[in-house]
Amino acid sequence: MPRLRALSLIAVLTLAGCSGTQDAKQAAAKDLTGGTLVISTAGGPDNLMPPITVQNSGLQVEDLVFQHLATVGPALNSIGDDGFTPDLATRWDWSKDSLSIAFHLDPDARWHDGAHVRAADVAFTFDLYMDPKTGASAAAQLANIDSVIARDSTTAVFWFRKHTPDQFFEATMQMQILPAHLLRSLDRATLASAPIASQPVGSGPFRVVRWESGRTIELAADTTGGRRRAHLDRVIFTQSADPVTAFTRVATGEADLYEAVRPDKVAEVVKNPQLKLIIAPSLSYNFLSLNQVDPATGKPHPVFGDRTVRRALTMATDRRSIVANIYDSLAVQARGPFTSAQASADTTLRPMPYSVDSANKLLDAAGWVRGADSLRRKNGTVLGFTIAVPSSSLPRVRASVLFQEQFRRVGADVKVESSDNSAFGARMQARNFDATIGAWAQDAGPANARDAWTTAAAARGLNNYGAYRSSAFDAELDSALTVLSATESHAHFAHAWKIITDDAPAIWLAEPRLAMAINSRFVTTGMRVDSWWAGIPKWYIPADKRIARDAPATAAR
Amino acid sequence: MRALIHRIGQGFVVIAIVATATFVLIRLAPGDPFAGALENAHLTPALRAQWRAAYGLDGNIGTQYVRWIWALLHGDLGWSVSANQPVARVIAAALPNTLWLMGIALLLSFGIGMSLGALQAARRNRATDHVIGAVTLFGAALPDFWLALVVLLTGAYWFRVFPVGLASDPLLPVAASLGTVLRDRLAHLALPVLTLLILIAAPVARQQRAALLDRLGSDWIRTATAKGVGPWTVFRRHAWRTALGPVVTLGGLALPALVGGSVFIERVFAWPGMGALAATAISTRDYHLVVGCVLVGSVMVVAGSIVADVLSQLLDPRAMQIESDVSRITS
Amino acid sequence: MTSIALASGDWRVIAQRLRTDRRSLLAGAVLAAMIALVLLGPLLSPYRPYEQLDITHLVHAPPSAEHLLGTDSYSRDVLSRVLSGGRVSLAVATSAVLIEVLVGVLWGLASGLAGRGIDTLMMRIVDAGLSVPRVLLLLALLAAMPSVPVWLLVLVLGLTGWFGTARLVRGEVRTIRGADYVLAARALGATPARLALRHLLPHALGPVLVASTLAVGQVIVLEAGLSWLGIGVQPPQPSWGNIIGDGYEFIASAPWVSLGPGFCLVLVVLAVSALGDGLRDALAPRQLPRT
Repeated sequence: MPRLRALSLIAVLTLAGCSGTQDAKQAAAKDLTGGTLVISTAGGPDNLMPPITVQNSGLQVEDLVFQHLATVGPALNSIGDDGFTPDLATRWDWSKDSLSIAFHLDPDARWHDGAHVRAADVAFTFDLYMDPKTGASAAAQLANIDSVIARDSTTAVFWFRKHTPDQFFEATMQMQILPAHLLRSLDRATLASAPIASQPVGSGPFRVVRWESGRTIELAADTTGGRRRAHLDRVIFTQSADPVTAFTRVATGEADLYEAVRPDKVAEVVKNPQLKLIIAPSLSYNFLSLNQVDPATGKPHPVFGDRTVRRALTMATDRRSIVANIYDSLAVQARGPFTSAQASADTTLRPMPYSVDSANKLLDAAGWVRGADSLRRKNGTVLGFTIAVPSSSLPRVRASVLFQEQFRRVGADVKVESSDNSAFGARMQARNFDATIGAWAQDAGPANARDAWTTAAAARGLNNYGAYRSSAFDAELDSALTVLSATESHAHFAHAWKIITDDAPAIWLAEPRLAMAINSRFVTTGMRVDSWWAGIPKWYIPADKRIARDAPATAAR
Repeated sequence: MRALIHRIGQGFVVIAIVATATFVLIRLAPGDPFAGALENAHLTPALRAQWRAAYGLDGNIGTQYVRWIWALLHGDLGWSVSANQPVARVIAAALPNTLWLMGIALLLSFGIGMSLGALQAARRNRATDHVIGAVTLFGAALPDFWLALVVLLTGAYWFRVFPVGLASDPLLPVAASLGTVLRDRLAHLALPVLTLLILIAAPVARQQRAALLDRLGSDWIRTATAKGVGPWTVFRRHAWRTALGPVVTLGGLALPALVGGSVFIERVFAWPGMGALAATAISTRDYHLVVGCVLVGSVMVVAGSIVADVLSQLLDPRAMQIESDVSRITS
Repeated sequence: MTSIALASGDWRVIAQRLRTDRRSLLAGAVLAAMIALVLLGPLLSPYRPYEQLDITHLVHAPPSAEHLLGTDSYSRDVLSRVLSGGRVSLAVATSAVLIEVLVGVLWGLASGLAGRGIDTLMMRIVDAGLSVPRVLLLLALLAAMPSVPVWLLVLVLGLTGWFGTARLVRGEVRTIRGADYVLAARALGATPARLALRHLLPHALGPVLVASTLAVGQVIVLEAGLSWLGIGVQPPQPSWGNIIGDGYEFIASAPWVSLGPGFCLVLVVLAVSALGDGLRDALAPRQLPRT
């Protein structure tokens, strides 16, 4: 799983576990087996090949079809192996120097085609992820792993370069184990187009029955292997391009779950007795990124190169109101490049205040003086810039229009430039923008900020688009990620957050929460903040609540 | 016959122009098929280059064009990067949906539109004429996507009569009887067809009314009237048939819609057809799929328009002019 | 419908016919009123169209005395936006149609007068343009633009809409270029340019005028669709299209956002279509029998 995923389409992603937590033991009873979950989505994946999948819609399917060696616990602890639950590996041993971990695989585990899962598959998977030809987005996170060796048919040993707090997390959560016998002969340069990328064979609780690209993905509970089967018979993803249509399918009961309910629909979900609303924190945050490099010249940006101006522009914006306008109650104001649900969060950090007066004073002091037309100028140049947004993302377009108006009030001439996803992506790659609404969906690990905001990540092709560079921030973050004491680590994180928020490389906007509408006949459990869908294998429908489509699956078309 | 062969030859010219122009145009847009999700920074330039080469998208545009033509001559439309399938298979999955939806919608629209137009012509300048005129004009003035959503919410949400979007029930069992399948398809068709009907019947009715009135005013009909043939009989016997010509030509002009679908309607109704497919292909820069969609579309349009020409010449050899409000259907 | 030969004095007759047609008069009046309204808009509108009044408390306020058409999701006054957006929509539509007509007429004239080879090539290009749905053409063209200011949008709309006009004009020219008076003019030594402008163009103009009236309506509707897809007139500049697009998501909870501009849009499209019909009837050369 890639550490950072840019949010596509709708600015909502991951979700906290909490809701009708019925007892899992009771759920084990046989009469809980059966039922169909129809998930309505507004987008779909282009492949189901874990190393190269980036869309959230693809990750959801893959998490049900493939397995990790172990999975992070509900508290999302990433230091050591506390809270991790066995998945493909039933247990693991650490070496004394913590430089190697031996994972013992479930000897009964089988691929959906019936073959046994073996340690050689694990070694193969690591090799595949690390091969530059594959283009796996998680390769950078796996760099601390020196090698993976199959000691015997069910023992895979990981050798690490350094002992780090998050080495277990990276070793288990960044890779999903893949079947070597089906992938070995494939050309790694074209994995996405291999037939198995659309008909994947995994070892997880569900197998792919059919995938009609752009329309439907049907999964069925897998009954091979020794693993306890999922309660539900089927999980079906149905895709509608328009979010209003996708939501309406759930409102009428034709589908059971929609993961991105918009604020104005929340009341409707609450009123509907067939639906329940699940609101949970997420690990994503968004911001207005201020590019410190002038895209035209490669020199410091004429507006955003100046720290005072960045701070002034931050104070000029009423972020709390903007967040309320876009998300209503479905988001809180972001404090910095982290979310409150993360262990590394500093929830005492105060966002820069909203003060138009201070903003105006700072801008005056920085030499940007208001003219008769109420626009500010410095050496004859107007205080102006563009905000680039993808036209398909409603929250981003909204945020840019709201920012634009607030900047206008302090004398800045701001234009919004929206373009389709591909053109927007190309602009980001080329760093060809003044400002943009950025959003990161993080994984549960601690090191997300390293990939998004450090000097090392400012190089082209990496994630620090605004090219923020601060050696002080880099050093604090590095300490936070390498010290093995949780309290010390937290203190370093807090320092790092203070430095970066004072430098204002971006105007931190919101931590969106996830609002899901789900049909009330489902008993849901095991949702994690980083993936609400993680618990689906444990979800069930009480016998008295089943409807026609829950009947034992007559083979679907 | 020679004229027909000539006409077919010219059809090939049209198709070549369309395909070539699209091939170039879509490559002018920034981005490439491997942009993946937004801001996918993990894709290094080296990796992109590797993928471009692997999927035959490397080299300059001339090389790519020659390569594409060569593949096309071997019956290969290329690889769709966004669907990870051969382009031909992606189109084969979408085209029937569009033909099915647009075919029924156009058939109904023409049937109803022509009848309304005839009724208007027969009752020229009376209340019926004005009322129908106003209603059909109104239909033609609504933005497609807006009307589609209102129809969807009304027919499927406020009144839960029809399903919300999609072309068929994804849960329909494989063993379902033909009757069940047919009923399911029709239920999913109802709302998008209704939307299209409101949008398309209007220009057809206007066309038909004008054509009929034009014919009713022609000399030979006046002669017939002078000979004592009743107006209604004249209308039924003569005017109707001769006025079919323009409508058939109109049908020819509606062909791009028949094959290309409607981006707006398909999007709102989550209808997996050619319009939605082509729009997605454009926005994901799925080069081969874009060109494939346009190519298949123009082949069918050209073929269809040749048929329409032949038909309308059989009906009325006079050259026909069509006013441009039919482009509403073709957009 | 049919090609109509107009003598130079006929325009007065047509104007006369239009003046006596009640439907055309009404349509003209509605159109004139709309144009006046959007021209005076900035004077009439109570707020600035892009002004966000209170983004926390005044979002989606229903119609009231202060906000006759309510407010939108950014707390902007919808009426002010409709008035100012009308300017943009009408300006975009008429300029795009002017481009359509200009390119289409020139292309059609040239093709109609050209020799067989060139005529064939030119018409095949027109066929090619007509065989691709216009929306797809627009999507592809607009995707290639790094940013789309209004003038560019107008240009792109105009350049994707002229194919029908070209075919129409070329047909007219082909029909009448063999007419006696044209042959006579040619025999008297008229240059091709003079022939085209003095003798052919006026005759082709009638149907073109009818067609372009209707095209104005289509372009307004089309711009709305593009705005809905996020590639029309860019925010915060309002157009009827993007106001309706802004209201799309909230059609059930705040219908006033899209109903106001929708009503104006429908009214204008109705008026121009009715005017087009009237014009067509006025151009019809023969008296219709009473039925």
